[in-house]
This record gives sequence, structure tokens and C-alpha cells, in this order.
Amino acid sequence: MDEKKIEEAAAAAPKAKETGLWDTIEGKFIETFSSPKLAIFIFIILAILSIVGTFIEQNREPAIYISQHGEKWYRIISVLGFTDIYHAWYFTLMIILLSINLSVCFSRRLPPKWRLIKDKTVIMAEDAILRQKNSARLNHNVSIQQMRDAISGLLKKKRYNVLIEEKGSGISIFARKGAIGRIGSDITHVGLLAIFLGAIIGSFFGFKGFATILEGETKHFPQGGFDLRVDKFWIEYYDDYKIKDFFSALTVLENGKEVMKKTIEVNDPLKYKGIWFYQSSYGQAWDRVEKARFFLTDKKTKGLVAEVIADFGVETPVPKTDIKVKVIGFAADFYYDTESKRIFSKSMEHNNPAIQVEIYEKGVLKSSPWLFAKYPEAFIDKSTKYFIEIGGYKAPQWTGLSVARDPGVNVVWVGSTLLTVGLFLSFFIIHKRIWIKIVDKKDKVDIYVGGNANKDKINFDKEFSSLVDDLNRVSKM
Amino acid sequence: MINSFFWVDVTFWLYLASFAFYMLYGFFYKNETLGQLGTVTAVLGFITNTLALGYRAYESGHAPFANLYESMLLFTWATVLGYLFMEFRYKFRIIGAFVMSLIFLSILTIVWLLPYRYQAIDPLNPALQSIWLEIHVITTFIGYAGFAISFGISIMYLLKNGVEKKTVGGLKDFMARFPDLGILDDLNYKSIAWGFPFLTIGIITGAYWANYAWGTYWSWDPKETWAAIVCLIYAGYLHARVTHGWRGVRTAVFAIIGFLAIVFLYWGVSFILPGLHAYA
Ligand code: HEM
Repeated sequence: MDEKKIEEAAAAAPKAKETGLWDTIEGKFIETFSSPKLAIFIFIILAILSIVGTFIEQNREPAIYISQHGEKWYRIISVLGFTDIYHAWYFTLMIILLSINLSVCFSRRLPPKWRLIKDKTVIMAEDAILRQKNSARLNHNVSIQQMRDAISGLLKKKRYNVLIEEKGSGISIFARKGAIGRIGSDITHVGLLAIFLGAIIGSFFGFKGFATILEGETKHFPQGGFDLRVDKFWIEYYDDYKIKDFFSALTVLENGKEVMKKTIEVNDPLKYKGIWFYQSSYGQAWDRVEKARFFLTDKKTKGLVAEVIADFGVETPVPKTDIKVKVIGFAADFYYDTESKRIFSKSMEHNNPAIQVEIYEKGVLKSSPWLFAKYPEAFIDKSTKYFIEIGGYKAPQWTGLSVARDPGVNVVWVGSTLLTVGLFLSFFIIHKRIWIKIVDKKDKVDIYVGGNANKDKINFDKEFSSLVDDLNRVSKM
Repeated sequence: MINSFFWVDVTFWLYLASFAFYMLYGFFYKNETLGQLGTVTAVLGFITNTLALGYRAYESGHAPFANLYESMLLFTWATVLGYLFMEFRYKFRIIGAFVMSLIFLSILTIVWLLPYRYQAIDPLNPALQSIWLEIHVITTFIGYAGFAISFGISIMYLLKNGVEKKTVGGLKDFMARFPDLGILDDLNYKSIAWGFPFLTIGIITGAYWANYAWGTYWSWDPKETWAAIVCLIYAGYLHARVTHGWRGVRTAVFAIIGFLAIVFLYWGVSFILPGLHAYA
């Protein structure tokens, strides 16, 4: 009954002072956007788009789509924006429409709802009482005052807010509770709007990035105007060598001065000046080594002559020979660019590690070949009688940090809290109202009881019939 | 030897017994004792289910929510708990026949269908080592439980409604113990009113955790996206019910679709779609 009233009040076109074109447009706009029907329509569209997005992988390279779906389908998928569907214009449009829908709906319904919540009209006619969802008509031979006190006592014990008015030969009672539950859904909707707002703030004013920093190195972050140094990186293992956790000891520097130290790990970031640093991955450097081990064999006899470990950049004598080696370069995934004639690592992976060494014989630089760890015999250095092979190397570790600043994130959390609180109010605080009229009939009283609850009818039915039982018992006391 | 597998086995037999008692009570014999036995075995099963989870946590040294084997045990745990609450409050034992058949199917899956490797105790990978794991998983599964119960009730609604329309005498007798359609519809709403806020908290705590662990609260991975889809479906249900007065068959069908989406969210996404949540 009351729901209908709210519905009507919300849907009613604004009173047109004139009937100009603008008023018609405004009326139509409000009519469309105050309707929860539009909301359900948007839900369906959003659900369908989301499902599509989970079956087509998002934000991958074209080659992957082509191999999965074929070239023709790839073209269709990419024209439709399905490769990044959650950021496609129509997805955003749906969120905008939903937000407008929510705002209009909210502002149109809150005033009538508020009136309903505040309503303190105690007196209700007998027949209106009997038209309530739950109602009963009793008569008992007790005095009207006695009945009034009994009823008000009963209802107060059930935690109702009880209002009483006496008029003529009758007494009217209005008992209510849980009205606040009615605005639960509005709080939920406001929370949802706040979440959208927070997401927008984040996407306009935040940033996300990824940084790899070697142990001991310092990196500048212009977004915050400070430097970050990685003092140490290490990994902890379980007994069976599965990785348990990994850590980076970080120091924040401003103008060269240490201002903060923290050891971060997975699930425990560092926060400084609104920028968060998350431990997200790690790896070995792709462009340098700390030291390398070499085996030297005699090219003729094929016998192992010596083994040596050389630190980077240090001329290291090889025992039992008159050779010295010096490590001068490294590429984890060796690549030679024929145009620029430069050598570099084409990825961060150690797919084809190569070390460049200088070879000295009796103090004279003989050559500076690249040696390949996986393909030792690919290029054999001819300058000496020794065949040199890589026996291992140690590259410095880098730590992978996700770097993010999101000024909207707190708005999202406020919105989430509102949303949740609203849900609990809406589902668990039930608006219950009971109207009673006691009519004095000389040595007996007629009692009209009616009431309703906005949800959870099963419980209200029980509560109502137990109230009626209690009232029947009053006269026997 | 008493360990978590032992308690899982005991739980299996107790849930099977409970399912059988509820079925016999609901459909075959007009005997209250059978129904009471259903309740008693369900309570005992719930206790051993709790022990199974407790032992598992003790054996692995972490909250027992790291893989499907463990999370299914949590699903049966939460759903039976929710159902027992409902039975205690509303006293419709027949609903037990439907909820316990779902529970029985789940525990059958745990002991029989699930690949053996899931029974192994895995150490937690670094991303999972957080108190938020517990909060996120428990609230999510309370949500699942509410929706699972609503699924059972919706099936009852459709059965009862179909039979009442046709007025087939025999079958009608068969469903004599079913609550009235209106009550079923209300109970359906009640269970969703439990499921929805808890799933929402589950999603929000998951987002909070993701933000804390790797700096984005929402990355549209398939699990997150399907959780949002499930929310959209149930939001559709709630709005259709509250603002358009939908009741009965239409809302029952809505609730069934919602639960199928949950099954996909829980199982389908892990096995069919790639993403972050691959572990559970
Ligand atoms: C994803 C978006 C939305 C969510 C999650 C949501 C959630 C909810 C929830 C949980 C309720 C309470 C249902 C109940 O009491 O059983 C509700 C009620 C309602 N919602 Fe939404 N809603 C959304 C969008 C919208 C939109 C866009 C509109 C605009 C028309 C809308 C209009 C309403 C109305 C009119 C009610 C009934 C309010 C009442 O009288 O208590 N909702 N919503």
C-alpha cells in the first residue's frame, strides 16, 4: 500500500508550469530515469557484456586472438571493442546511465519515503484498520483504561514506539518500529554511487606502474619527488623448496636524506606520500653479472686444464696457465641488432645468456668474444689454445615492485561501507506498524487491531497473532 | 588413525544418513521420528564437518581454504549451518530433503569426484598469506550458503506450483509436507537476503585485500567479474521483487539462474577460464 504511494509519487511527472517543449523533455527524462525498470535493463546489458569479457581474454596481443579465434573473428572482436570490453565506450555509458538512474531514483523517492518514515498519524478509522494486511477485531469486558494500559505495556515490551491519542469515546494507538530499515536501500544506492565516483577519481588522478630495481640501486620517483633504494632482497622457502615469501628492504630518500625504512613483503606494502610500493615479483638482472665461472680445456687434448671464477670487471688470472680473463658484458637473452650493430638482451628472461670476456695472454689483450652458456661451441675463440666455456654465473637479483597511487580508493571504501550497512538495514531491520482503536461500549470495549510489515511476512504473522492472543488474555486477568 | 580424512569420511556417512532420513520423512512415511533423525544426523554431520576443517587447519598450519577440496568442505559446513538455523526458526523439515540432497552431492564430489591431487595439503603461496584470506573466504561462503538454500527452496516452489496447477491427486499428496507457496516464496527471499549481503562483503573484502596485496582493488579477472555478474542477477531478483512485485514462479526461476551462475563462479571459472583465482 505504502510502497505504491512512494512509487506513484516518484513516477509522477513534475508539475508543468507551462507545457513547453523543455518541460516535456524534462518530464520524459525523469519518467525514464526514475524507473527501476531501466535499472533491470541495465543490469542485463552489463551482465551480458561482462560474460562476453570473461570468455574472450582481455588486453592480449593480436597474435593471441588470431591463434585462438582466427583472423576474421579477431577483426570483428576488435572492432566491437571486445578485447578491452570493460573500458569500451558502451560499458562506460551503461555505468553512467546506471548512475543517473540511481541519482534520479534516489532523489524522487526519498521525500515520499521520508514522509512515510516520519508519519505519526495516530488516528485511523476502524475500517481502515481492518483493511491492513493483518487485522483482527475483538471485544472484551474490561475498562477502556485497563485495555489501553495493557496494550501499551505489551507493545512497549516488544520494543515498539507507542503513540496514544484519546478522542471522544475512543482511544487510538499507533505503534511502530524499524522505520530506519526503509532507507537501507537508499544508503546502498548512495554507497554504489560513491564507489563509481571513487573509481572515476582513481582513473583520472591515479597511476599504476611497475619498477624493477637491483639490490643496492636507487630509483627516482618523480610522481612523489623522492628516491627509493633497495638495500636487500631475499626469498624464504618452505622445507620442500616451494617459495614461502619474498622480501625487499627499502629506504626512502628525500634530497639524499633517509626519511623512512621498511621491509616489504607480499601482502605488506610500503606507503609514502600517497604512493604504495607492493612486492610483486623478482628476477635476475638481464644486463649484468656479478661473477662468472669458466672452464678452460686444451683444444688439442680436450682435457680440462683449469677452472676460474671471475668477478665482473676484474682481470683474473687462470691458474696453471698464462691467461687472464675479464668479464665485461652480459645479455640474458642475447640479441644482435643488425641495424644499430648493438648487442642487448631482448627480454628479461634468461633464455640465451651470453657473457662477453676479454682474454689476455701474458698480459696482452688477445680478443673479446661473446660466450654462450647454452651453445658453448657456437663460436670458438681462436686467439689462444684454450677452449673457454661458461660454467655458471651469478646475476644480481632485482625486485619487482608494483607502484600505485589511487586518490579515489578511500572513496571506494567509504562507498563499500555504506553499501554494506545499507544492505543490513534493508534486509534485517523491518518496518512494522500497528494501529489499534479501542472503542468504549459501556461495560465492554471493542478493539480493532491492524498492522503491516514491509517484509518478512512470516514473522510478522506470528508476531501479530501472538499479540492478538495476548490481548485476548487481558480480559481474563 | 584420526586425521582430517577420517572426519571427512564420517561426515560423508552422516550427511548421507541425514539426506536419507529427510527423504523418507518428506516423501514416504508420515513419521515425525524420521524427520528428527534427519535433524540429529545433520547436526552430527555438521560437528564432524567442523572437526574435519579443524584437523585440516591443524595439519596444514593454515586456514583450510587453499584449494577446492578444502573450500568444498567449507561450503557444506556453511550451508548445513544456515539450513539448521532455518529449520530451528521456521520448523519446515521438508526443506531439509532438498538442502541435504545438495549437501550430499557436494560431499560426494569431495570424496569421489575431485582429482586426488586436491586432497594433498599445499603450503600457501605468498599471496594467500593474510588474515584477509580468512575473512574473504568465510563471508563469501556464507553468501554461497544462502544462495544454495534459496536454490533448494526455489525447486520446491516450482514442483509444488506445477503440481497444484495440474491438481494430480497422488502427487499432491506426495507434497503434502511442503509449506504453502507464499511461505516458500518468503523463505526464498529470506535466504537471498542472507546470501546477498554476505557475498557483497566477500567481494568487498576481496577487493580490499587485492588492493593491499598488489595495488588494485578491481582488475576484472574472471572470478571477480563473475562475482559481479552474480550480484547483478540477484540485484535483478531483488528489484523485480521489491519494485515490481514479482513473486512465485518468476522469482523462483530467477533464484535458480542465480545459483547456476554461482556454480559457474565457483567451479566453472576455476576450471574453464584463466585468471588469478586459479587456486580455489
Ligand atoms: C547495481 C546496482 C544496484 C544495486 C546493487 C542495488 C541494490 C538494491 C538493494 C539491495 C535493494 C533492496 C532490496 C530489498 O529491500 O529487498 C534495492 C532496492 C531498490 N532499488 Fe536498487 N540497486 C541498484 C541499482 C538501482 C537503480 C539504478 C535503481 C533506479 C531506479 C534502483 C532502484 C531501487 C528501488 C526503487 C528499490 C526499492 C527501494 C525501497 O523502496 O526500499 N536500484 N536496490
